Amino acid sequence: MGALVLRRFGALLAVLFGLACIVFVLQTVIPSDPARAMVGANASQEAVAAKKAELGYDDPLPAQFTQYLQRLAQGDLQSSLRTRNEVTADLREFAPATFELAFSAFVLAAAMGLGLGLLLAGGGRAGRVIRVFLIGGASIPAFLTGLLLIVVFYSWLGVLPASGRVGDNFIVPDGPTNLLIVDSILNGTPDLTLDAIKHLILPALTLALLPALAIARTLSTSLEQVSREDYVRTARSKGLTERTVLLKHALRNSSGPALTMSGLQVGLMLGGVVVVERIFAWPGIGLYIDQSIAYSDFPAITGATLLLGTAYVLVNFFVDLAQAWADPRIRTV
Amino acid sequence: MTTTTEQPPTMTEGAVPVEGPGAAAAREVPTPVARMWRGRPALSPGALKGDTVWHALIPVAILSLVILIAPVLAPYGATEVNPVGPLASPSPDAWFGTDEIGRDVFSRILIGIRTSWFAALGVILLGTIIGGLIGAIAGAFGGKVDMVLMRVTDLFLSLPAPVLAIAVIAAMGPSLRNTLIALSIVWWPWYARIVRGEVRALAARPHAEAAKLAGVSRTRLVLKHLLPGAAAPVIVTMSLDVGNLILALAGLSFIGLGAPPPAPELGAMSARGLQYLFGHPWVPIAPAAAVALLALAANLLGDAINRRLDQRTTR
Amino acid sequence: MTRRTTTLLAVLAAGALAVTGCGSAEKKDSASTSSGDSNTLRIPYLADMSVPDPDVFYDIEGNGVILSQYEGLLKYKAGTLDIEPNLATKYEVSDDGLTYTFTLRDDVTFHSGPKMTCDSVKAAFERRVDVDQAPAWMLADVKSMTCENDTTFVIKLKNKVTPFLHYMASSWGPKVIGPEAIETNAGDDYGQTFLETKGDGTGPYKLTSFKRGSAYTLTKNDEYWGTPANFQEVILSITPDMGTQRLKLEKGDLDVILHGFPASELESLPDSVTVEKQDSLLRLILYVNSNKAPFNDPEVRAGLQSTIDTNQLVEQGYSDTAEKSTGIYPPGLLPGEPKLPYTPDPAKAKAAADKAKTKKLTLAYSADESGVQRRVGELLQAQLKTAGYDVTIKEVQLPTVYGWAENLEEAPDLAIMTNTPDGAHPDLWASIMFSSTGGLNFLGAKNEKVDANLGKAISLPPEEADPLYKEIAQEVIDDNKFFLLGDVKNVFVMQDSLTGLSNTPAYPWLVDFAALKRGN
Repeated sequence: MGALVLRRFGALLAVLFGLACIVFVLQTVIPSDPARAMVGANASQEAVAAKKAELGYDDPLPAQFTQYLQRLAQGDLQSSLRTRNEVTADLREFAPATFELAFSAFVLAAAMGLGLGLLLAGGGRAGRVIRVFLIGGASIPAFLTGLLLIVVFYSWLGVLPASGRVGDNFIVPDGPTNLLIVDSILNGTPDLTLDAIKHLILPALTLALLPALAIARTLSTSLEQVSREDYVRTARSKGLTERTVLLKHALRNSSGPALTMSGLQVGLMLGGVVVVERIFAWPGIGLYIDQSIAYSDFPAITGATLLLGTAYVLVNFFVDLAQAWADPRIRTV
Repeated sequence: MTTTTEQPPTMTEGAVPVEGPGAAAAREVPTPVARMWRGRPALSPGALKGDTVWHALIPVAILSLVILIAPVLAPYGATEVNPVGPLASPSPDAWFGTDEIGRDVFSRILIGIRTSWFAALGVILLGTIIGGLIGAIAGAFGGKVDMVLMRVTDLFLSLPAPVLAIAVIAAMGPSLRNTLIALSIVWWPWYARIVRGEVRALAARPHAEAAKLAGVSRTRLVLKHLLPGAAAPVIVTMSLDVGNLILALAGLSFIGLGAPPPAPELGAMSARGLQYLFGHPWVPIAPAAAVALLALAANLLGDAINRRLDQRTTR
Repeated sequence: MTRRTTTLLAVLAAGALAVTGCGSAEKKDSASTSSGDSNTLRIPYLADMSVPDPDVFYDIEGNGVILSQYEGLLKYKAGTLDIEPNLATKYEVSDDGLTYTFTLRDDVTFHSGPKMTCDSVKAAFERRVDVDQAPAWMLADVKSMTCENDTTFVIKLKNKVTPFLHYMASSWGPKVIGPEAIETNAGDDYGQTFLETKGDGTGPYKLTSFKRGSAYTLTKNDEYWGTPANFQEVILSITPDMGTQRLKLEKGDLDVILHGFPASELESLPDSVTVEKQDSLLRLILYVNSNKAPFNDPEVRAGLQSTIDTNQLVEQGYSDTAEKSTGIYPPGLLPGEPKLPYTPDPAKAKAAADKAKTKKLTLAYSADESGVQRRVGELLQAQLKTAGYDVTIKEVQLPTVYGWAENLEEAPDLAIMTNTPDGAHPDLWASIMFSSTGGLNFLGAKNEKVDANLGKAISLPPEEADPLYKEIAQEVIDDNKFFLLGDVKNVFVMQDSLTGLSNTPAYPWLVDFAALKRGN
């Protein structure tokens, strides 16, 4: 197991280095002029040139690359052109909201995926109808789904808020985790917790829709597969009810692929947050990326890409290890 | 998750290939699992009747027909202005109304289905060609070549594709071409995996062994005997990807990184029309509905082919 | 689930309950949760502002945070282009036009407590020079700043700058920042770090919370020297999607949408919402790249005068939220300026286009939230197509636009932008737009006559300068490197219950927060 962890860790570092390289390549091909944007419209040519030299855009590429790697190693992602802040500081500010959203959406997707997967595997006409309905639903662009959800649950029913992380009639605590739900529980303010959860429902649902479908599909197919296996047949022949067979025997052994699929869906979700956070004015990394795109704020875009990429790589690293731990046969391969 | 002795071996393998970083363990991938990306159904019981494919083919056939004769069907050109004026409600003169410039939404959707379909197909084909080539080489040669190629593939697989696509387009500047390039860059690794897996599995089959013994060259072996076998799962994945790609294009347009105007691309039409949702809902909703239909048709076809193939292999 | 885990969960839940107790995080003073809260004004921003630092900020969205917190020596009178006193009660300009003497108010205190004196004004002006960011140019011609006494501030210039008083009144002009930023928290960057999220000004509102990505809160300044604000609190929440903004406005959770509302959707708003269209200095402009084919040929450029149908562009792009431009300068800046001669003439347009070396054009438009520039771009694309051009259209972001000057061969042939001058003076518009070194002259238009006249006019009194500005206008018209298309209005979409709307054309996308109130 130790050797495996080591090997996977080595691979993890390689992937992260690859990510860093890709981001660097992107940085060097930007067609815009960030130095000019920073000093403003009325600045002299000299001021622009000075800024360029300061940012290191004048150096030859290999030198830029070494500088870039050195900065990365120190956790320095340069300053955002828009916020004038260190990108690392900005990311620290925006990341908790995205973490909260992505995590909730993930849990929601897993729950929905499990329920739907079982329903689909149950078969019958209902399952097929639901499948078509689901694919159709997941085929609507997320921005439209989001806005329609707001129309229904905010404008018509008036049960959920439309945007933001919390109502502006609340005092938002300054920590310790910056995860609103956790903080509000720690601070003993249940009304804030409730409000934060209410704000979370619609964006999390929008984000969870597509991954839930993917998980459900994977689960249902592996359920069908497993249910043909001998041991399940044996269980059936013992006279156990179909439900017991499905839940007690088949589900347990079908969860592997679904788990893997869930891990993969994190990547999809991290891309989805850009759209969802914009619709729901969710103050997270997605919103940060969206606003940075509009400003061609490349340090910010690449910084956020690095963060999300790293998060994704890490999630899958742990999924890997968890599976190896759970299933000894993987270790031997 | 605990391991039971009853667990069938296929399940373990099923969990292996899509593990993210350094999935060196995935070297012996059996065929069905590679189809799992984004919820591809793997092997399923041949419970459905054989004619399911034909049921699914009907919408696709209609769609293909539409794509083929879209310019003839469309009452107006994609950028032509309908005389009823801008933002007109649906009427017999403009079936789905007109957009903010006064262009006929119905015509734009017909032509847009074509644009979106070709855009998606372009990415998928590029992905298939790049990925297929790499996968085939890796699968056929095995050993060091396989290891190096698959490590590179793993690297790309380990990165969050949508996030990367956003960064690539933001760097290169939004245009339909750049968008398609960016999507292809993040799309090919899945195909490399599938093809490699299929080729590896097929190479181990008796008929390939026999061909090898008969002195067939390696290139010929791959081209004649191994690649055709990999075609089926690739086709399934391709058909399921159409919907995903059109949705990805829509999302990118929404954040300003999609096909530039006035291209009648469905996702871009829907994203840019979103601001008219409340006063003139047909502008964003009609193209979004077309996206949904397109994705639905592609999905149903993919599922149906998949099940059909399943039956063939289980028989 | 095993029995053990159930027990564990129960214990956890009980623990959580014990910790939570029955605390509340709700603010004490806001009784009702949202709609119709009479003490809070809620306004959405489509994006975060850069920084709430008057010496760095040089954008439009965010000006409300700056201008309700900070004040300059002068300002524009509401609804006009006239300058009126603000922190200075009066000003004198010496006969040689080089010395400006401002008499300061003596009843002004900063949000942090201390009284405003001449020294604090001087320190604030010096800070702008020291920080040396985008808006610093307004003080570039200053030779010296001195305080004769606590209320007399004297600025001496190196050379004559006739529009100098307009700099003082500009939205981006020098503002008086308090000692909390300039002294106490100066650090080694003149308090720039402090001013990234906090503030210390003299205005009717103080910045009490700045949460990037979520919301900024302005709280009423009870010690304000002027007419006190009506709302206790202004919350500016970042709501990037216009659809979401609209739904919140309809439900009463937002009070005013300041900009970006699509003109075509105004009619579909419910009765509880009113729409105010007010004049602004914002202008829709078409830039022509005269540095490469086909528009390096003056004749081909001139053909654009007959190609462009401004009426259609403005009417279909903006409905009635903009008017067709009639002159080179924003309306009201230079009475009697030459009229724009653009008249669509398909035959002439085609004839000119036929002389073009290439008919393949790129048309860029800058990204904006309401999509109006895209709409204009698409309309223009169609008009050019009629003349025989083949036009590719693309969206660009501002930093990309700044990059064009470096490689004009690769830059687009045409570009659509909306710009606004820093203040209501012809020079503030012409210098930045038409001079060959102008910051907004994105496609490198050069015209020696324009440059020479601008250099002369800036130091001349109005009666001598105005004829030069008119000459400049004629030159710009005949040169066909800029096409002025539309005068864009401020469109404020607001709750019917709000009254006291007050705004200034020179301050785009902004209403006076302090003057607004609910009901009569």
